[in-house]
Parts: sequence; structure tokens; C-alpha cells
Amino acid sequence: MTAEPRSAMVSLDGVRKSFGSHEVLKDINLSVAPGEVCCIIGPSGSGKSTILRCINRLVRIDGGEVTVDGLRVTDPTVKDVDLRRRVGMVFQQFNLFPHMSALRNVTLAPRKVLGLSAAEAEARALSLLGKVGLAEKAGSYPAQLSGGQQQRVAIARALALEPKVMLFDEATSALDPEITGEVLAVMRELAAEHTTMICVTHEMGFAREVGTHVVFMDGGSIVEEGPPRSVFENPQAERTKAFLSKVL
Amino acid sequence: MNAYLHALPALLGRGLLATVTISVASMLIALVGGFGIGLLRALRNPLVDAAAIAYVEILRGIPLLVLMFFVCFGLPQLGIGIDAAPAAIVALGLWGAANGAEIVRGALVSIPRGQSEAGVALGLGRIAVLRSIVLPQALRRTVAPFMSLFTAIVESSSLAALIGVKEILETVRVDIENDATLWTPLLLTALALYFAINFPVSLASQRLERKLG
Ligand SMILES: Nc1ncnc2c1ncn2[C@@H]1O[C@H](COP(=O)(O)OP(=O)(O)O)[C@@H](O)[C@H]1O
Ligand SMILES: [Mg+2]
Repeated sequence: MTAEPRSAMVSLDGVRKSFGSHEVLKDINLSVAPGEVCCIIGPSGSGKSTILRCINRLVRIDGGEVTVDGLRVTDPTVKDVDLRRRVGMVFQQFNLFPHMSALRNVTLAPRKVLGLSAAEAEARALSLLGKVGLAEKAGSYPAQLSGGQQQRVAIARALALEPKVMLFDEATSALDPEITGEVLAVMRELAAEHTTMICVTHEMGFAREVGTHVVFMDGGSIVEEGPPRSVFENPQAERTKAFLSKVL
Repeated sequence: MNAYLHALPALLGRGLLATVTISVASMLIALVGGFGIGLLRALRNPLVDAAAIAYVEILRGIPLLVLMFFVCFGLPQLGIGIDAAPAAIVALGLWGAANGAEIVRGALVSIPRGQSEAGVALGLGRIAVLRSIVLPQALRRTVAPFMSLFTAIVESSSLAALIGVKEILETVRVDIENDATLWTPLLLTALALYFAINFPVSLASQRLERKLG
């Protein structure tokens, strides 16, 4: 394994990705330091989800390099499982396993991937469900939970492998506005604990208050990035200004 | 009435037994073969896929009766001797497995992509994703179509009459040819027998579906 010392937890260097003839990521460079909360904003179709999916190899990049905790995703000797243990992912549609209780959703990966015993995995899962405020829902099935509760279970599930970085792909976009708060609260708490996070989000309030770094994407490129204050209050690029005037 | 009672033992004995044996054996082949082929396709190996697609398309594309004739009369000419009843089972079983494979494949692809993606993102391998996440959800969706397939197998087992297997229909036919007044009572009895075989299949499937739900 290549464990060269690096300051970045996640870095993308000249990442390119095309689907067929459609170039979705064009020379993306991004560096996320440990404990940073990087928020990616931008219009639909600009490549935000694809960036996240390159980080845990759900998508294979065509060029450039992605490094996660010192592991290079293009290195064929780096196993999928070693990469994915380090990267937790939360999806817009939750993607909880409907045939498993909340508890089993969370214990599945620790048992199958880390080889924990049932008791160890359950102890870990219960503590994580407690952390997202759902300890008493451990025995409930996803269909018995509200959207906000499901997404919080999904966050607990993603945390169960004790990842080095958490990816959130529009974690609140499928939720009714009045219940996005409970999910955002959990994300804020993670940020307060210095969890390294990369969040694709339409929640500009969250990006502004919780983000340590904001990236604006459009058309497969990073148009502008910087501390939230500068991107939101003093955007330089015309496209950033146009986007922000629409969403703020 | 006397003639009817006289015909009954053969129908309820040998005839019913032959139909049930052929049907149940074919169902088992359809179930095991269908899951075998359907799950192999989930591995997405191009070679395995091509073989499976060829098998499924060929077997679903030819009339079942032609297949039965081929197994019963064609194979012996190729040096593979086979009796009529086993030939019926082989033909129905192979046909059932092709249809079963499509049922299993259809159920697997009906599970939203986000499910397997979530498993993959959690570090699970392809087999673990299939076994722990996709298959348990797909299983329930195979019950109703398999039950339809089983019913079709029971009904199609009557084709075995045409290769000389003394199952329900063939038993009835022989008696009717001897005494035309038996037409209605014997055929009604045969219908009742087919229903008596199919009804428990339907009940079991409903119970299974509830259990897996
Ligand atoms: N698997 C795929 N196959 C083909 N095109 C894709 C695929 N995934 C994403 N795309 C395309 O790539 C572009 C960027 O998608 P995405 O990263 O999902 O954007 P965003 O998350 O910013 O809305 C879109 O035009 C989308 O249609
Ligand atoms: Mg997206």
C-alpha cells in the first residue's frame, strides 16, 4: 500500500470522466484536508454526483488521479474494500435495505466487511443509532420510518465502518422542507466533531454556516471555490453570481 | 355408470400419479434450473450471459410439443435412449427452467440500482450484495410468476399424452375411445383432477408470498 504522507484526506488531480461522448468532468482539481467540510454546489447535471462517485470508485475515472487517505483509486493493487471502508456515502434516496430493520441496516457492513461478531456489530450500531437520535427505532423497518428518520439511519449505516471521509449526495433533497432540519442537525454534529465531509447540497444555509470550503461547479468544471464567505458574499465569476442569485 | 366406475381406478391411480410425477419433477427442474441460470446471469460474465441467453431464447422459442417430440423420438436416434415419461419430464423441465430463468432475472433487475449501489459503497463484494441485499428482495417477486409457471407446467403435462405417456388425459382418451358415453363424466373428472393439483400450488404460493412479504 502506498501510504506516503499527505496533508489532504481526499484529493482530485486533473480528474476527467466521460459517459460516451459526454464529458462530465473536465480536469477537476480539489483538495480536502482532514476535518474539512467541503460543500459542492451548482446546477443539476453539472457533475457533482459524479465527483463523489469517483472518490469511492462507484465511477471509474478516465484520467487524472483521486487519492483517499493516501490510497490511489487508479492503483489496481488498491482493493475496492480498502477504499470503501474509508469512505462513507449517504444518498439522496437513502437506499436503506427495506427487508432489514434499522439495526440490521447498520450492522450489515461491520459484520460482512469488518468481520465483527454479532454482539460487537450490534453494540456499535446501537451507539450510532443513538448518535443520530434513533436508538428506540432500532427494531423498525425502513417503511415504518419517516423520510428524515430513514436518512438518519442511512447516516448511521455509513458511519458504521468508521470511515475517514463522509460523502453526502443531496442528503436532504428528497425530504419535505420541514424535516430537512433533523438531518442537517446530524450533519452539523458530525462537522462539529471534525469529521471530514464532502457534501453536495442545495442547502445554501448549511454550506455557508457549516462549510469550511465551498466549490461551485457548472458544466463539469469547478468554476469557483473558496471559503463560504468569499464564494457567497463576493463571487467573482459571472456564472457563480447568476447561480447564487437564483438560489439565494 | 358402471363403465365410468370401471374406468375410474386407472384414471385416479396410474393417470393421476403420472401427471403428478411429471409435473412435480418438471417443477423442481424449473425451479432449480431457473434460479441457477438466473443467478449466473447476475454475475454479468459475457460468455455465461451469451450461453444463458441462447438457452432461454431457444427453449422459449420452440413449441413445447416439438421439444417433447424431439426429446422422446429425436434423442434415441442420436443414441440417447429415453422412455416416454422421463422424456416428458426432461422436455417440460428444460422449458420450465428457461422460463424460470427469465422470472429470476426479471426479479433481480427489478430491484432498484440504488440498493446494490448502497451495498457496494459499504464495501460489500458482488456476491455479498447479491446474497444479502438483492436476492432477498427479489425472492418475493418470483413467487407469483413461478406459481403461474407451475400451473402452466401442470396443464402442459397433458402434452405427454401425445408421446404415449399414460397420464390423466391419455387414460381418459383410451376409455373414451372404447365407450363414447364416458366423454362428459371422464373429462369432467379429469378437469377436477387438474384443478385439485393446481389449487394447492396456488394456496402454497399465496402463503409463501405472505411469509416473504
Ligand atoms: N452512469 C451515467 N451514464 C451516462 N451519463 C451519466 C451517468 N451518470 C451521470 N451522467 C450524466 O453526467 C452528467 C452529470 O451528472 P451528475 O454528476 O449526476 O450531475 P449532478 O449531480 O451535478 O446533477 C449529467 O449530464 C448526467 O446525465
Ligand atoms: Mg446529483
